[in-house]
Amino acid sequence: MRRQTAAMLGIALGMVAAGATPFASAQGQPARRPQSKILVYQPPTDQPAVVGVMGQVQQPGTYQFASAPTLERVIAAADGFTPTASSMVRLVRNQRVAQRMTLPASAQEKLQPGDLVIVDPQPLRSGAAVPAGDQGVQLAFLGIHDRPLIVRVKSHEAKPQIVVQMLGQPAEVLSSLRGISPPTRELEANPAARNGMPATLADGTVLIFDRQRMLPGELPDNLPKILPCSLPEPDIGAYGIHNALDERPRTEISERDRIPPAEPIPFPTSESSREIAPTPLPQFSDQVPATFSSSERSGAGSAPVSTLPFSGSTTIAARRSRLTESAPPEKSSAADAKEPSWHKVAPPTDDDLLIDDGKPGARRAAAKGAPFSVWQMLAIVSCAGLLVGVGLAVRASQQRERSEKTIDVVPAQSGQAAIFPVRQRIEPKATIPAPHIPLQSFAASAAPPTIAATAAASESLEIRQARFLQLLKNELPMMEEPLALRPGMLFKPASPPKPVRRTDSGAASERQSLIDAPHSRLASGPHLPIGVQAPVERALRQLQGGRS
Amino acid sequence: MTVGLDLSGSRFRSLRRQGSRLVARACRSVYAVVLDSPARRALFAAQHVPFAEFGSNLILFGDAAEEWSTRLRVSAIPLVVNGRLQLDDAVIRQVITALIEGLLPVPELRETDCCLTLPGGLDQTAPAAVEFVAHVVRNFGYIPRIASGSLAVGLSELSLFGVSGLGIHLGENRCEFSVLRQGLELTRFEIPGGLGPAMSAASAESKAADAETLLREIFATAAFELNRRAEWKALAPPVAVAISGELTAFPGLAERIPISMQHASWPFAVRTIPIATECEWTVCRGCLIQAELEQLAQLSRPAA
Repeated sequence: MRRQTAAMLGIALGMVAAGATPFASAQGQPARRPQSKILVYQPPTDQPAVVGVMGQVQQPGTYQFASAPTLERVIAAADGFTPTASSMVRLVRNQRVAQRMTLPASAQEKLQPGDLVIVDPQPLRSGAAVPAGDQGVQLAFLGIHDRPLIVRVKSHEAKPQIVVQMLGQPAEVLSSLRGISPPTRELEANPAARNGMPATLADGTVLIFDRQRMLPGELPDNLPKILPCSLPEPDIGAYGIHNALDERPRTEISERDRIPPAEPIPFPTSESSREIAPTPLPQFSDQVPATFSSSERSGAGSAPVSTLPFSGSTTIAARRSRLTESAPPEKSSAADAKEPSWHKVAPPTDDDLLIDDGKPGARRAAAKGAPFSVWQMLAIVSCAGLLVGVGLAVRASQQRERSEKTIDVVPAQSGQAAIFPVRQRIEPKATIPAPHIPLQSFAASAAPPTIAATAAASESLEIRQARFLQLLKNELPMMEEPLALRPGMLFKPASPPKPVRRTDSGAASERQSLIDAPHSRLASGPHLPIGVQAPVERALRQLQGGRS
Repeated sequence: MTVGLDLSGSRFRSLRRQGSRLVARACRSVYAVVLDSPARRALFAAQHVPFAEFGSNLILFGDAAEEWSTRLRVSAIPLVVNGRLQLDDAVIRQVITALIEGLLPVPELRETDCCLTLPGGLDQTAPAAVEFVAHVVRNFGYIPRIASGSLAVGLSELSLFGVSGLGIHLGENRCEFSVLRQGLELTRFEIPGGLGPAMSAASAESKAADAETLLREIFATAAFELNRRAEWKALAPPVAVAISGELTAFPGLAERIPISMQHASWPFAVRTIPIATECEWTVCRGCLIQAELEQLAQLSRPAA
């Protein structure tokens, strides 16, 4: 028994020794147990991030942040919620609804560049005031640029066809257009209705374009720009968070850096909100170009609604100053008797502004209108100046590129093109609108289609010859579209009757022998009539630089 | 707005110019027949699949036929067999009509040219098939003009050489050769028996080897035929050669084509040029160029 115990003990000691020194080297040096490596991925936090926010916020748009912002910060950049905002926030990432979050629980949720935050409205309750007038429809566009685009259009123009037309894109873009509709009772009751693009776009709809089918050159120039975030960047070190670069110990937090207890974000509710209408977006009446003939100028009377095209960049400060100037009259006059009281626009007060950078007393100071401290002012001014400088530099470079741009023409698929790349300057856009040709040409099975000469079809001969030259040199880009098949086709077992051959009325006589290969008249000679030769020779002369 | 229509390959293609870009449409040249049922109708309607009713059956065509034939376990029936359009059946004729009408856009002006190629070429296609396709195109509002694939290849690929040279279109059942000078076809001939037999080999290497053997025979025959004709003398040496065809994209085949050409006794010095391996739209683009030429010629003529 003792021997067995001693043997067991020896074996156990041996196992322990073996475990402690499993790889004792031959030289007798102590070996260490291999440690598994733990890799911690720290996402880069110092890169600028562009995030879009729309829905029930005061200033929807696309904002640029110095680093990846939180959801709370994004809402703050948009001047907070409107009185009709709900607690549900949808996050669209990579062109799909990635998360549905509830505020204020998800206020510190980190966002990624390119995200789109949608604040959903509260459902209408019985007895609630119905908004009067055309408030417009807020839409978001994804896939056009590398950032979300937030726009507001008139209600009667909130249709996919009109939106595509206003973006200067061909009708073929509609076939690849997808949408994320806002959650409504109808969609929740009938999920099948989510499929397909609705005829009329609801407020808060996100349209997802297929970038491959887009024509970037046809987009309007005054699409919404990125708005800089004027909020000061949070100082991570002041929160006492350990920063590897800073190497400040976590426990050493001075009294100066100690942050006060976090105050909950005042979430607007219907009981606590005053009758304040949502702040409308700036009017863009002075920027409407002549091509958008379908939209009325916003100066016609619908003040809160602006139609496409979209505004240029405005800073939050300028917008706030505009709002303070447009303070509503305190008394309702007889002229205002027709309008409900809630329709008047009142500027948001400081209590509604979510300015909280964690500094003690800053919120109170902002509410009372007291000036900031010197350091805060310097930080704000330097951030604003940096952002303005970056924006000006980017704009200047874009303008320089636009004036001296040369393009590498991507020819159609051909092996020759890889050997002979061609560069050419961008010519001024021709003012030939794309003809609106319906995909389904005719309904009757045997009736010939109606042919109507449109203005766009009558290109001048010079333009046509120039395009032909480009076609010869394989310089024209190519896009593919689906077939235009007629719906509801009914095949008959018998052969269809031969239709009557069309005869052209007018000066031209009936064309005979239409089935001919133009170059098959070998018996009559190797050369075709002069009319066919002339354009070829001229084009070839241009190709060869005058040599025949 | 002129249109180029290519009906010669395994896919039907159309190409037109719209402003400063080309707009293309394509579909597989197959169709499938499935049994009609309310569930299938609802399924096709939900998936936006175009179909046609025919008695107690539903007919799918184009890409939808290829896709759904696999799902529904029915066979996708080709419309082109051995280089010929199957026009014996009334249903097939209506399928072809529907596909051609789906490929062609509504013409914007009267007397718009549509240049097209046929699976059997100009010489091998039956007159009834030619009449049928021309009738469909004409009924849609276009003026049909039928061209050979080799002419389309030459127009598409010889632009940097003054659109002069030898255009070759390699197909499964025949190979077409055209001698062009400044865009005009001086002579044309076909050699029956394309590269189709080589494609039935087991491995890719054996396919390429068989194809090279076939190409040598084809080029030798073509060189002999060219020697018999005098039109090639209008070309200034060295002569540019443009080669295209669906089979040139086969792995390993493009490298063997110049080698095969060297073994033939051409009556002229051949300028070696790269072969268009991405040649899906070569013939269609050539048809569009031809249609544009015809249209420009009409516009350039003085009014009568």
